[in-house]
Amino acid sequence: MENEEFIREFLEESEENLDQLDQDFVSLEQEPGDLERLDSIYRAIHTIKGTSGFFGFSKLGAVAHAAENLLSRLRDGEITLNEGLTSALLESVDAIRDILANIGSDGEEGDGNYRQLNQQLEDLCSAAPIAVSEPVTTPAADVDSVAPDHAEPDSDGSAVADEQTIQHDSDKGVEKQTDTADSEPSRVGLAEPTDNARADKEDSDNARQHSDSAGTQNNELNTATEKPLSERKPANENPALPADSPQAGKGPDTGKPNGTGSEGSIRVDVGLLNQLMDLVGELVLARNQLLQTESNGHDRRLTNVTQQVNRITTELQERVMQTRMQPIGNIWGKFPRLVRDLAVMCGKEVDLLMDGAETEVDKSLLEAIKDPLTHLIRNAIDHGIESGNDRLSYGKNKRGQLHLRAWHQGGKVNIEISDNGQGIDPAKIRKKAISKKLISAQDAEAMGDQQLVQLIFWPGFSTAAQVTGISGRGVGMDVVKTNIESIGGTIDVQSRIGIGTAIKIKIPLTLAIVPALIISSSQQLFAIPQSHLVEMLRLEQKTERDRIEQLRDTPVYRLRGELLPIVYLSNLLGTESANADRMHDHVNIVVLQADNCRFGLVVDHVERTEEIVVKALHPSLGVIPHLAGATVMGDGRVALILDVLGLASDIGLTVEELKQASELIQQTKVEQRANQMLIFRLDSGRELAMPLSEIDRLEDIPIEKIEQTEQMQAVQYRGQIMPLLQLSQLLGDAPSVQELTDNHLSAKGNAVKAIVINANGNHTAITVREIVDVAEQKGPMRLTNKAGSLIRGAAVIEGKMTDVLDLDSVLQRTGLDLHSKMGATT
Amino acid sequence: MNESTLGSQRQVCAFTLGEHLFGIDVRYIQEVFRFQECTPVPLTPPLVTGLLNLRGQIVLAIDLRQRLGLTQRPGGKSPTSIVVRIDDGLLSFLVDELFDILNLDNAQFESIPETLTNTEKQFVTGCYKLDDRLLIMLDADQVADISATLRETLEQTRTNREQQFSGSGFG
Repeated sequence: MENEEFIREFLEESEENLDQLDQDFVSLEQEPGDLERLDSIYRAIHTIKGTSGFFGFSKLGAVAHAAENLLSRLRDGEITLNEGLTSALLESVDAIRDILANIGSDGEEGDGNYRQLNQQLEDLCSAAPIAVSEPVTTPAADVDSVAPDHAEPDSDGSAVADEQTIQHDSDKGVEKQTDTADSEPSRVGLAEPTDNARADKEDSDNARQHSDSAGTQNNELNTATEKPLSERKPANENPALPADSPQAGKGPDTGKPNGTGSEGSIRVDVGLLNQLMDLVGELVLARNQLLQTESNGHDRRLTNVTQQVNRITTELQERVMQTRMQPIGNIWGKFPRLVRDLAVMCGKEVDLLMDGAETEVDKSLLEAIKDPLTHLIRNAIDHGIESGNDRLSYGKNKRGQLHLRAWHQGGKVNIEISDNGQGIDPAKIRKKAISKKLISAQDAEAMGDQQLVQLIFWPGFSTAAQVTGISGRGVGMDVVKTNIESIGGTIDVQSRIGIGTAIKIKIPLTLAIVPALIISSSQQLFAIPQSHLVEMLRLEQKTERDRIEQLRDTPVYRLRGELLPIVYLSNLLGTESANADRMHDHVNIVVLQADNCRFGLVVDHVERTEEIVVKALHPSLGVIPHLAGATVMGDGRVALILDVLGLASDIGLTVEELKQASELIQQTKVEQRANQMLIFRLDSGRELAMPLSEIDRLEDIPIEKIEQTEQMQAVQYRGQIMPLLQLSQLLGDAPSVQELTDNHLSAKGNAVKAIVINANGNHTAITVREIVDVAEQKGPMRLTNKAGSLIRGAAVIEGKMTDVLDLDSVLQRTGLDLHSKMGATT
Repeated sequence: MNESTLGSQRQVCAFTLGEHLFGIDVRYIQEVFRFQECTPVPLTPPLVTGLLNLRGQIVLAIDLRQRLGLTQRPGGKSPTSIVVRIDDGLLSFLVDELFDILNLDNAQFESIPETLTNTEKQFVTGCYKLDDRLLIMLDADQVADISATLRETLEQTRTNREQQFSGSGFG
């Protein structure tokens, strides 16, 4: 019984150590001279070996023993680490992990056969230093071939002398890489083992690099004389980095193999935390009820106590939430090994940089993003980063770079995976998408580069020219996207040919508590996660309701020129007959965003917004796509959480159909608008008309927003400065500015009515006293042929002769005016 | 099957549905309580009574009368909820009354009685002859596995709706 307890502890501890070992080995491969790291690896393996002996796990002991022997020789400097050795050692870590997993599940070591591995480790151990396998690198050879001639084991002086020679020789090759290297925040496997002090004195990047390589050479010359030259390559290719970067600080210090965790923390079962979370959820509910009860009574003491309970509960809730938060580094920990293995498999050289590993995410979310991130990393190495030779021929650093970043922003966790590889070629995407019939050739032509690149997230898309063992089976990115979206996140890709690709992911901090909109339908409450909410519409009048039309059996609503498919929730959920909703005297539409589709959900009532505690539904309810979970309301009743993506899948129209219909409507609208005239009255009392098609919007501009410069009045509008034109002034029948403002003040409280015109992206506003009407112009316009007139002519509108404004002339005149004035002041 | 055995005995939670006496192995049972208010789940067949709040945990309640194809529970009679844990989900089986927790001799276990309907047989593992009545042992896993039924209902609802759309002409 006791033994079991010990074994469990041993397993848990070993598991952590193994993850650390993966990282350590990868780092060590890059920095073979890092004796401290080697030591820590040795200790970890030694501990496992020792403990396995204690419990009588002979297989485990044998593997650990073979690895330990090899490490011991490495540590004594009898052999040097190379790719082959690292791979073998990593394999032994895998073997240990397998055995431990077996022990964990049934207490036995499993039936894996590790004799071959042990033999291999032994062979490597006894192999003479010269027999170390041939390294793969070549391009840095000119550096290497120069170096040994000059490098002498003794002197700093000679090394400095080398620098000049080497620097000269390798200028071209090194330049690019130093550019990037210095700006990098952190690097895995960094710890600069050599001559830091000297390196710091050098101002030239090149010089610094070569002092490193020279330093490494010194080290190596001390330990072993006969070995392949390019062994030095890793150190050489790894530019000096400040040792205080986050990752550097973390690597060697935290994961001490024998460490039992930092002092102030204890191990807690996740199940226990979840229970704690549930209990706090209940406490919150009880608190809500207490608050409701209390608000009815008048007992002062009760009020005080209630407030206290309220405060403590809120804090308790926050703290318990915190216990579920884990640094994202916990899943990143496996990536250095992954990157290393993939790079070796693809014959590429890749540096992995990680930034913001301390960023905290809810544990359940961490699990959910692990696979998508892994997939994205595979993609980046397989498709993104070019082979070393290709990179050199493009004038890039031979080693590709993969950069993982994470940070908190606006209550979300941002994760970015960027590489400096070949980027995604929109032309290839276009061709592929057409050949796979994902889009029509016509549509493809109309799409911008950014839009094309987004196609990689479509189902059935894979751009790799050849399917490799690593990625490229076309089941990739759409699954990644689905996974990210299923946890309420978003994913976005940006790419530039030859420069690289960046994938940005945003996920919520936690899934356990989300802000939600509470709505009711058929007397039942439902919650909709606010992350999907775009806006809410309430159609009061019959005329507005009539704007709900039918498009192929699906109701659609025209919202600012776009067609919004409408779904009746009660209908979708089968809780009411299809026609019942139309009996209401108003219609509530919740506009929701799902994927790249926007739709309106008709509900009975919009109740309120609320932070809800999300609870999982019984797995068998998973077949109903419309439901995402459930939550307990303040009164203890259960409310269902709607799955917006699931609802969207039930809309009768495809995105394509909607787009086409929208365009059609837009077109007819423009045609219709050509004859529609807006009639407005100026401050002088004069009535004018202008075609509706020339108008962007009508706005009420608050007086206090109007800024007066010497030359003009203007407001800030959508990030621009929008000049306000006083038409009556231009037309020559203007009251003074003061009068104007007074007029406006008396006329309309504290806002000025304005017609906003959008000319080539520049907004201009014409202020008017009032908008009179929109009416159709019948019959031709009588043109005024006066040059420079601001009036185009007169037309009969609503049976009245009305002057029609010549917008072009107005803009031209004021534009010229403004322009010359601007020129004068600057 | 891995029944709760006490030597040659097993413990069974027995309950009534109409005049029938059914039993479930006690290893599934978490607790028994009076039925409380339930939130209906849309798009589910009538056998899903709804979701109830069990001290902050959401439990799916299944009406065993409906599930086993028996007659509907007479109105005004509130059911008893037997909370069972199957795989990793909590379910509430709604029954008429809790009968007893019985210690039964394995030797008395008999195969499925012929008198049962087909729907019933699907969920029955066998029976025990008690002194004066028959105790039918239910296969809790089978009873709990409602995914297929749910899927059917969902399909049916969708087809109905489509027919309704094309039939009504809509607006």
